[in-house]
Amino acid sequence: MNLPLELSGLQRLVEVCGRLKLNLELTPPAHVPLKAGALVEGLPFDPLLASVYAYAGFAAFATDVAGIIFHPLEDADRQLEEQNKQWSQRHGGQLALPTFIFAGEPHMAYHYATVPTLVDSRGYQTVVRVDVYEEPFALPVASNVDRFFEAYSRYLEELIALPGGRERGVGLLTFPWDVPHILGRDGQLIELIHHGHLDSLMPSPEARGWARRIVSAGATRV
Amino acid sequence: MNEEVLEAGAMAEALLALSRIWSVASGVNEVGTQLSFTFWSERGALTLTGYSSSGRSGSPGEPVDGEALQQTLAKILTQFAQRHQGMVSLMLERQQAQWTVTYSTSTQPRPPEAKTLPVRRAGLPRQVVEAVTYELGQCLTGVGLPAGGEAQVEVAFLLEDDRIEERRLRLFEVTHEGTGGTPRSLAPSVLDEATTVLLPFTQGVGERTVHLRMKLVLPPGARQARGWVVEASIERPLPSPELDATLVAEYQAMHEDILRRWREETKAGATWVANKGAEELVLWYAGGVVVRGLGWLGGRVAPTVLRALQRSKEAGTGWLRTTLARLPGDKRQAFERLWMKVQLEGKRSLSSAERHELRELMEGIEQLIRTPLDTNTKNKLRADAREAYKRLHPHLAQLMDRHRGLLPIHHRRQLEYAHLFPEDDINAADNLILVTSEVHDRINALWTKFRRARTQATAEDVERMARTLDDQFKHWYHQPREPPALPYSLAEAEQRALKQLRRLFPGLE
Repeated sequence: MNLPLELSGLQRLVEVCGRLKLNLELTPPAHVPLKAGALVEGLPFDPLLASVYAYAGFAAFATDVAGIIFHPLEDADRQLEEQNKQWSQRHGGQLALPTFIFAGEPHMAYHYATVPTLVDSRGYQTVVRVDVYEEPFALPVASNVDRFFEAYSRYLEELIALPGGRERGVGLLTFPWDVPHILGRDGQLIELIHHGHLDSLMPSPEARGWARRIVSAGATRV
Repeated sequence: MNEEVLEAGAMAEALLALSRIWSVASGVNEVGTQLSFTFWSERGALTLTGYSSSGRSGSPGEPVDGEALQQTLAKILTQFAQRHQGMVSLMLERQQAQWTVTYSTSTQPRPPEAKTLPVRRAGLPRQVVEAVTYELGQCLTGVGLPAGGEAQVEVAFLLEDDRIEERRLRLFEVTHEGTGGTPRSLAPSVLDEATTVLLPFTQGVGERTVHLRMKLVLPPGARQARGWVVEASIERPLPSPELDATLVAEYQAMHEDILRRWREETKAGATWVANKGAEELVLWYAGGVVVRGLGWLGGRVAPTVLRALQRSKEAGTGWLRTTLARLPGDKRQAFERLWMKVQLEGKRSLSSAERHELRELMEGIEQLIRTPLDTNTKNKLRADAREAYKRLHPHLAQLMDRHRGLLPIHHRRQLEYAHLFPEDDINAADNLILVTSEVHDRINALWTKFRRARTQATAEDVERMARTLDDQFKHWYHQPREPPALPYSLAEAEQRALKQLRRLFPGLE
């Protein structure tokens, strides 16, 4: 697999799915991909997502135990743009910060999104998981899309190592709630949480309390 | 269970029955005595259901050839009795120097304590023999007869599987006063015979009471009273009308299977149960709680838990599966460990600390189901709901996979209100609906309005809300795409629902 260096997390996730014999689906990229910084519903497209979609038009990981499913950006199916259009109409004003959704969990109303206003020096956008079942809120999961892949690959390793993990899947160990220690490996994410940059996305004390566990996990590592 | 294993089990059952019959018969010498043993026979399994003896006042006969009797019994048991499903009675009659044996069969409903599969085990466990000997000895302690007296005695043993849960001396009636004087104790042979008769009754399944009716006599001049068991019969608990018959029947079948493994090899049986995990054994745990109740833990323990489990097999097992998923790992393990011990070793096997732990645990579950779910538990229950939906709708499961993860599974009554319905399984089939993301978003938007208007919603409010949404959105339920030719559009359905909800819940925006 020829992936650019900045996608080492994706490389790892693909390797983990193969090693653990978990579902993995990748389709060829669209002939006309989205370029980094292109505006979708007024939001700039994340550079790492642009690299991912230049590599695969659609991706689904570990859908047999838990699962991340990307919104397709293929020649025949450009749901990524359509999904963001609907997202903007339905939930655009419900979160304190603008979000760009790129993936979800299969048959769930959990969405993975980048936050275009929270970028690092390379222009990489922070990744959150948005829950719209009740009052919408978001949880921080990675400082950028590739760190998200890396964290998810480590989560899958932990899940499969549990007795009954392969059978019960995400019902036994959830992502990201049950694995703040994995997210705590992402130093840049800890900085963002520590400085309160994500507080507005987490109005509930429960979510903020959970985010503090990421920071604690990071502090323990240091 | 394959044929070879069944045959080995049937042989072990026949040998055990034979040895138990011989144990009783070898102690009987009076010519003219008739002994009757009634078994339920099924697939080689032999469960003793009745015993009687009569004609015990004859004169002693000559020694008998035990081997000849055992050969006859072996032939009858293996070639005839075990090939018949139903009741089999073996009648033995003591002649001067031999026993004659006849048998008869009858078709009757299977008694609840009957085994349906043979157990491959030689003899009876030492602890069972010791327990029966000890408890019978305790029961008959102090029983004595005056010279020339006669009495009838009845003892009752409440059994659960092969364990004695309770025992009592139900009757001691002197039927002939005799010449009076200091009562004399019972000869050891009385206890021996009662033990020998009672022991094979321990090999049944479930709860029942075995009654032993005995006759005691103290002939003038004798130093100790002699006696024998006149009849041994089983009193079965009446089926409770509150219990779901399907749950109880399936529980009993599963319990027997587990018990059989336990009887064949205690350690392997326990390991087998532990390896299964609560997910697969949920019926066993649900049935175990329902059949035993919780009153034995002292007082009115966890009444909602008991009601939830008693509703029906599907509702009860579904409820327990979901509730166990909500328990923290250590509590879930404690639940499995304690209920496994209760079911395999009996309520009396729990230490007072374990009994206290189980009571606290059940009370904790009672509280838990009345507490709003936290966010992560909702995550887990949604994941379980997705898998449950796929199992319930296999034809839609394939379609779901083709939709690249869209099509969320919606809870008719939202998870945030699960605590208002503590007896219901929030992941029950009738609460799970597949919808498109658009329908889901519209329904959720209405729930958000409801949440804001009814901050202290009652169960009735939630039920009315869910029914209103059902009325308006039912055409879109379980539909992976927009259904054709509908009387109104999705946007209209939303507006109609909103209008109704505003009438039902003033203040809803």
